Amino acid sequence: MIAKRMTNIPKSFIREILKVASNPDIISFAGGLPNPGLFPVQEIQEASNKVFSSDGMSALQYSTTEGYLPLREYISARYKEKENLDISPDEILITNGSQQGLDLLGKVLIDDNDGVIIEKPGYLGAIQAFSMYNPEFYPVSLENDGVDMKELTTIIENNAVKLFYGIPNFQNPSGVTYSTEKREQIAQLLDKRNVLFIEDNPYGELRFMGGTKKSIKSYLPDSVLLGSFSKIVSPSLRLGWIAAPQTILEKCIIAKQASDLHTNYLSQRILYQYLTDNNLDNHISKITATYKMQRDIMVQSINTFFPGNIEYTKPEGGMFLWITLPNGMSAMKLFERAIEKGVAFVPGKPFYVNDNSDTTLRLNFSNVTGENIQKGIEIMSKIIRFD
Amino acid sequence: MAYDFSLVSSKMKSSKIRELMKYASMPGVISFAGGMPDPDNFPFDDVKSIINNWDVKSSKIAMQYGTTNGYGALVEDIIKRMTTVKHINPEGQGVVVTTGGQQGLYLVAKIFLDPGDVILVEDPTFIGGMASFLSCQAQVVGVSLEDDGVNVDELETTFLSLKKAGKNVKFFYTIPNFQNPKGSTMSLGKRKKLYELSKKHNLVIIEDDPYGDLFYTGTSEDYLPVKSLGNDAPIIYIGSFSKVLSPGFRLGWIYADDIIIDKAALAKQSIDACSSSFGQVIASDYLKLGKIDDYLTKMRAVYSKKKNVMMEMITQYFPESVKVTNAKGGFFIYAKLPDGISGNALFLRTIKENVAFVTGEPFHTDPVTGDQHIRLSFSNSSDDEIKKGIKIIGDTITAMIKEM
Ligand SMILES: Cc1ncc(COP(=O)(O)O)c(C=O)c1O
Ligand SMILES: Cc1ncc(COP(=O)(O)O)c(C=O)c1O
Repeated sequence: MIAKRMTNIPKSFIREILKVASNPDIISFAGGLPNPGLFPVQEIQEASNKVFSSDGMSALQYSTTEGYLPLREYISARYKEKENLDISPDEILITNGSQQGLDLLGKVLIDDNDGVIIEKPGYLGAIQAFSMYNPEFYPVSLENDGVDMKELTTIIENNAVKLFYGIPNFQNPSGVTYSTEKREQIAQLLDKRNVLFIEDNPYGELRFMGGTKKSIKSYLPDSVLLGSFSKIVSPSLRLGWIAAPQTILEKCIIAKQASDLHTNYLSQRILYQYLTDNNLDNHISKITATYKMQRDIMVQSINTFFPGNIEYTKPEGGMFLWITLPNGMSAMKLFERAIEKGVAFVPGKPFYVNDNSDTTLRLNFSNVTGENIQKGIEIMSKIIRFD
Repeated sequence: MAYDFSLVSSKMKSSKIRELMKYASMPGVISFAGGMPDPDNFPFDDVKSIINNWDVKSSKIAMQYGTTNGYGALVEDIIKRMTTVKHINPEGQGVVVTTGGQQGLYLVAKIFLDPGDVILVEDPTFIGGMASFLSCQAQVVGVSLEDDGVNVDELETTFLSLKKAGKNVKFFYTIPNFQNPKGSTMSLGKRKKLYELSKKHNLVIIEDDPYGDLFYTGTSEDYLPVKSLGNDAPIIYIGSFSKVLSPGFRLGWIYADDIIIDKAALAKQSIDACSSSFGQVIASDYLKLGKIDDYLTKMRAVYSKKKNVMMEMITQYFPESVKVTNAKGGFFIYAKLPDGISGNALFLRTIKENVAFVTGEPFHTDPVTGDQHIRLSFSNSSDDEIKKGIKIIGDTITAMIKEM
């Protein structure tokens, strides 16, 4: 009875983990939630009061599929200001979080067995969304400065590949950021080979150290760029966007009509009001200052407590850090022990498409207090050292 | 760069209604096109004070990612209403909160439909439903829709002959209350027959009920869902907050067997992770205010009055050869034009006089039959606009008959 595509989706092990981890007695490095202490609650309340006083009737009505034009203009202007990137409001579709962008792009681009390159380890939400369209995945290894270029080139040269989905800034799950050289090389290679790049950038503005890097779209204007307000304002508004050439965007708009008509209009109006009345950059610097502190505590705790043969990434932004255990050690086993001792994280397995690697794991630091980060890492290190 | 689109996207068409809405939203146009709720009566003062009254705990929930199945308190409220108001037995049933009823339709399409599968629909039916099913590459087969609901005997014969021909028939999609576009309501007799048919053949029914609370004659008991007849038939109920609270929120729900809910939630994870917690906390707080029943009573009166105005004007100005359904609820009056008069031709003339509606064409499996119909929505127009607009449409039809 059930459609075949449903059997393609990896069962969400993470969902099970998050259920366990939601127990308040557990120190959870498992989720990917922003720090709720930083939500601009009062400002959003004020913004909503303004929207209701000025235009309550229309804010609650049906609206257009493309999204609220002033919000699209804001996004367009911000690209210009931050990166000198020319993306017109007509090339922007507001989506129900950038997660929806992944489903829409999967729908308009992927047929059965089409080649899709994805990072190894890759973002689970993208693996799930694309799996619905039954592609042939080509995972490409991540190094500390982005994907392994040799591997990428070999894959592209030897296979019919349609698109490459990547997260160049503070990747989920690894925390890795692509170097400028690799960004340029990727743009050149994909351009030459006519492979579409889908650049997912929900964390790019959460840089707390190092220099900003240009998006790959600035080297490759024909590519697709996804953005989101989830990590810089609030995820519950469910507001993200697709920035893409109009030929692609038009298809996404039609697909979105069949999917949910349009994105929550009240959220769009309130968010736009918030962005008009507040300085987003100031708000983001509060977030990055906090995340840097949390990240530093995590890096220091790992440095202090973990044995030296454990590798870890040192992210320059975002919300995640990635651990590689020495060969022979199992992340799944570590997970089982850690849960017993009140600490949760996500073992690396679900982030690999066709690989049974069990030596990696993801730690989230944005939603844990400094004290608990230290405590949790210490508990993990005891298990690693003595079990 | 030359983009290589998927097969399904090269077949996807933009909704005709969306295109027409461009005219309809032009200033000065009287529009019966949209099917939008009446914004003058949105409870925005309540919504505003709900947001202002959030304590720290509520505001954290309202601003954070939520679970895929939906905000727990809202899910409980929905189950309660489904049990007490709609008389559906909650045993073994679960909820997934969706991004509008539309996403409910998309989710059932995702979880059931492989390319080439057949689904059965009322003919005419809601274009948003068809768009979702077509986007998963289903083949759509229509079954006659009569004034008292779908022809259930025809449904059974069609189902059986498709089965016999080796087709995979996945479900039957129905809007029993105040159907979009026809405005028809399924009789109790047909509901019982449909329930038995579904049970006998294990034919899944997608019961879409966004208008069920907006009845203008009788009581809530007269419009109970087919699903309320029992849990022995595979019936998936889809509800929406769009017509009873606000469409801007994009909130709806699926109420079905737990097995279906698990699948739908799995699909939803990759489609948008969760529906807005911000909207869900508002909806839940609104239901807790206990004002919803009074609000619905008020809205039934508001819409019923608009409908009566439209019906009176139609009686007065439409030639008798135009046949209309007198809807018992919902937003729509459907009119069959006299032979030889095209809905599209009529539209092109009335739009010059700043009056818009939608033609039946996109709702029917056969566009020619569709073009003999027009759908008039009264929900979002003032009495004066209705009076003026219907007269113009009526006069134009009369003129077109004369010209024939
Ligand atoms: C890489 C990546 N893309 C997309 C998303 C989806 O975010 P949203 O749908 O909230 O915008 C996430 C969220 O965790 C993510 O990590
Ligand atoms: C029959 C029917 N189903 C579903 C919907 C979708 O409504 P929403 O997505 O706003 O809940 C509509 C809206 O017009 C409708 O008429």
